[in-house]
Amino acid sequence: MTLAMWIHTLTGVLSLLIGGLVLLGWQFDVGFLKSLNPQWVSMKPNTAVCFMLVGLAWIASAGAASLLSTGLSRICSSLAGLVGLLSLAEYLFKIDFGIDPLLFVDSPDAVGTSHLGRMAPDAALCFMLLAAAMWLSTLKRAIWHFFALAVLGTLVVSVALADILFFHSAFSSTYSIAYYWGGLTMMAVPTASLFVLLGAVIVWEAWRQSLKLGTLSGNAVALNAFWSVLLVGSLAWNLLQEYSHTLDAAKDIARANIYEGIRGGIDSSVSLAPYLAKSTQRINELSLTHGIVWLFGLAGFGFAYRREHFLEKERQLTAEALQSNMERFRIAAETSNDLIYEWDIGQRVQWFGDIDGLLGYQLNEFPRTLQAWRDSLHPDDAESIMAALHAHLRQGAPYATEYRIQCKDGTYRWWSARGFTEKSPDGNLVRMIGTVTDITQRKQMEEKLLDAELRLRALIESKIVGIIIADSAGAISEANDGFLSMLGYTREEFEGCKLRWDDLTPPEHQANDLLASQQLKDRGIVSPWEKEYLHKDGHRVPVLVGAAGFQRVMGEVNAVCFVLDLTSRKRAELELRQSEERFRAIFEQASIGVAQILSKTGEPVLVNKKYCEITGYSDEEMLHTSIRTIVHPDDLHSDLDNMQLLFAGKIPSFTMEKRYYHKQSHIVWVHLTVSPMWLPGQTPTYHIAIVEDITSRKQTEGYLASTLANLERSNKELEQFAYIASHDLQEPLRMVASYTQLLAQHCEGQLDDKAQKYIGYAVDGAMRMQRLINDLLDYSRVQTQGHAPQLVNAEAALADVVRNLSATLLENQAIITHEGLPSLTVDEVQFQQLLQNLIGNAIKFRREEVPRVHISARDCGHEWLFTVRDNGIGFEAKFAERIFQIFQRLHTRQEYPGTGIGLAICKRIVERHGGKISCDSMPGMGSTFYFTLPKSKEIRV
Amino acid sequence: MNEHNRPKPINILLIEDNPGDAELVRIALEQAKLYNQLLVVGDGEKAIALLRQQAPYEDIQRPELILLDLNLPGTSGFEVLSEIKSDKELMRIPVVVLTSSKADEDILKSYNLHANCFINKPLDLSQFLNVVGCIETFWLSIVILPPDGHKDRQ
Repeated sequence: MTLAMWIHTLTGVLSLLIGGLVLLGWQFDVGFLKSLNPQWVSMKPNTAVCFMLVGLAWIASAGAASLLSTGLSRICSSLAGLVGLLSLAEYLFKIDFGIDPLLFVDSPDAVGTSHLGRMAPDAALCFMLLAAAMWLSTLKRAIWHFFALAVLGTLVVSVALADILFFHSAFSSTYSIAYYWGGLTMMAVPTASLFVLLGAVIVWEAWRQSLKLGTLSGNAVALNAFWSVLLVGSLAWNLLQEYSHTLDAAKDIARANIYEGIRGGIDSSVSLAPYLAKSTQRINELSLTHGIVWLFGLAGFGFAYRREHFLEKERQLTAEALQSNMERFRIAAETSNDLIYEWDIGQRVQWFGDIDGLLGYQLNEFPRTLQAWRDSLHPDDAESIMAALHAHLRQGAPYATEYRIQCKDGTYRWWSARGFTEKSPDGNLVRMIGTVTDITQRKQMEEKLLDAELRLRALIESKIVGIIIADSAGAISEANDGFLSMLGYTREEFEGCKLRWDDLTPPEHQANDLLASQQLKDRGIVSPWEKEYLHKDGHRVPVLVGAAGFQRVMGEVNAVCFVLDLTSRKRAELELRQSEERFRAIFEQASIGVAQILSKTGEPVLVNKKYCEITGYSDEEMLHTSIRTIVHPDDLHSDLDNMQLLFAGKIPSFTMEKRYYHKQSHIVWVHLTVSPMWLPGQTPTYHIAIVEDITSRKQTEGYLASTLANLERSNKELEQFAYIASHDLQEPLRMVASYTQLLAQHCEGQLDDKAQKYIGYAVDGAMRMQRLINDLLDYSRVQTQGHAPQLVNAEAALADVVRNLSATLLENQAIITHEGLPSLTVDEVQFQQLLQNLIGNAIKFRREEVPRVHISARDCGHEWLFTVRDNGIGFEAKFAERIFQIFQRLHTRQEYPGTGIGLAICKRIVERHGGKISCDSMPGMGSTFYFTLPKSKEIRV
Repeated sequence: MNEHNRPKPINILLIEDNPGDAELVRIALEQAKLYNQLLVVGDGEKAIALLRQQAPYEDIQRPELILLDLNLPGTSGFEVLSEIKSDKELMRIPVVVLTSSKADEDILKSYNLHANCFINKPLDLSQFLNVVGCIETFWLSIVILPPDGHKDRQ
């Protein structure tokens, strides 16, 4: 509660209290309460009631204005005013409404009372004034209200004060009966005092309120109050003086009348008449003078009011203008993206314009503080913005910045801000005012533009495509690095001498270029065409050129051309073509038949020359001939089965041998391989059939098979022969030999020498025959009874042989040496037999000197070369072949026994092992036998 | 070597189809002067029948020694050998394979079929006679033959 409210309330309470106390006095007839002094005039009951009403009204209006409080205060004060009005009316029109004794009946000897129980006329006036003041104060406060209030308050104070003064003079005199206002009832002391208080409070309130509006108004109100009080005081004082004289005269007369024993009233009035008349005249003059002066005062007050009113009007106009300006400003601010801010250099920032909307906040949601703004700045911008702001505030640098500010949803907007700081005359910062423009769109546009620029630059600077800009005359104004490097020019060279389209184009392309140029003129665009440029070093660069026309800012129409280097593509095409030709040549000239066949049907779609040769059909005929007519019916079934498996993906490929019917109706055997023709990422639609003519092979195979059968049969027969040789052939021989001998025994003494000799020949023949048979048997067994090859140490084998031949060797004193004998895979028994036969021969055909045999071996890569050298009799070179033939001898049996099978067996053993045997000799120079044995362990059958 | 006083002759069965050879063996045995009785059959079937004392050989005693030629008509010498050596009654009788073959496979096969020895018929008459004499001497004088034969004989 403010002081004013306290005072207001306290005054109201006081009024209520006094009124109540007085009423209590009336109720219980307490003189002290009714009138402080029994000699003084009492407060009338109506007055007390009115004070209570006024008190209530004041209390009600002290707090905040509300319908109830305002209504209550108005009703209460109006009731008081009504009572005052009625009372005054009773005085003026000498009527009686009967309101005076309504509550209490006044005592008949009431002091200073003209009408019993009726409130004093000036009190009634004061209540009316108070009621008016209350009404005014509850109205909308305007400047004249305060003036009016001041006037009303002043009137109340003046009236009450005058009463007090009269009262003092009246009751200070010994003459107790004194009336004011024409002898009408006076105000009681408390009444007057209370009115003075109430009036003073009203004046003070009016002064206080008017001070808010302007110093002049306040001063005027105060001056007016002071003037009024002074005037009333002066008037009262003058009247008092006047009355004092009158009263003194009246006292004297009364005193004389007392002496005369005449009770005052009728006579005294007569005797006092001249004084009274004089006094009244004086009073009237004084009152008139004072009234005039007061009116002047009032006029002055009115002037002050007028002035104040004018000022007030002006202020209102200014305020309205300001308001209207502000409104315009606001509209301007709100309709544009601009904001205006006013910062008090402290925390408070006022924003004009729809800052909340701009940042996505609810109305007034964005806090109007510096901190809120500061917190919304983009972290990257905050530092520089604050620095700019400080620079502006401290050094007065112009404040013009661009920054990002965060919206409620977290996105940022670009703002451009400017500002100006207002300074007080003493240089203190008062406030900063400025504008903010939302430049988000502009920024985005700028970014897009930059992005587009960068993209365009990347496009142009990429060396993938050559880009040039040429004018209609063919002068190339701009070229990117891609174009320059394509044609071997450096940028410096390009800048130095502007290139011309025509100069870069070989003559035969000029016509085409002209067509393109025409197309560009007609349609603004040229679909890509292939041409060539001349490289700086003279060679031609195949390119693909596309062009589009555009109008330059200057209005000239230029063409932007995109040039794609086709060199590598052309090369690739050439390579592809060559490769294709190569493969076609391979396909066509292949010595095997190749057919591309349709997977679904198995029918050929492409065949090569050889395929045609194999089948006897031309490729044209082939494409119209079903595979079923070509394939031998016996093979067709398995062929189709295989095809089905292949196409179903169950087998990756198949190979078979089958028969075709040649166009000339003979059968052609082919070896067929069919596999899917894989193209990347596709299921095969075609298969490739590779066809090899194996007819001759088949024939050979047939021949081989029959040969093999023959061989087997031959072998069987050989085995049979072996059996025959070992059993059946032996017996007749034995019969011949034995019985010839038996016959000789039997006829002993009867036969002459000649007969004996003949018998001897017969037996010898039989025996030789047996040896021959046995040797032949051995020879045949080399092949039929060989053993599986195994790893044999030749040295160890030789040792065994030497052991076998030990008796012979000892007998002949033979010396056997060897060197470098390897381990090898052979039939051990035969290998030993081989060595044994050769060594045996060497010793058998010895000379006189000590027989020496040297066995050595040499690694010849895939085979071993063995050498058996002796120092025997040797033989003529012409027999080198013959000695290996079966039963071929170079000497008579008498010279050297034997059938001549040994070397034949050697040859057979070596040949069985896949080697060769030969001999080198000269008579008397010894012999050297060579034989080779392959390292592979296979043995020829 | 001289067992002239042997009370009973030793039975020798010669299985041989060639009469010339059979004659030579007989001559050889005769020359050896050992007391023996030579039976000659010309083929395998007869030999088996004889050994098993089947018709028409029910009365012929089982021989103590068999001389077997491999080269026989019909049933071969090996088959005869196999029959003998797989028959519990006959397997004890020594079988001398006497053949003109010197082939390794014949030698191996004979021994594999439990021939008691394998001898090649020499071409030379004296050698032949000598060999047969050696056989006789060896098997009839040196070797102690299984006792069963004696019992049967008795």
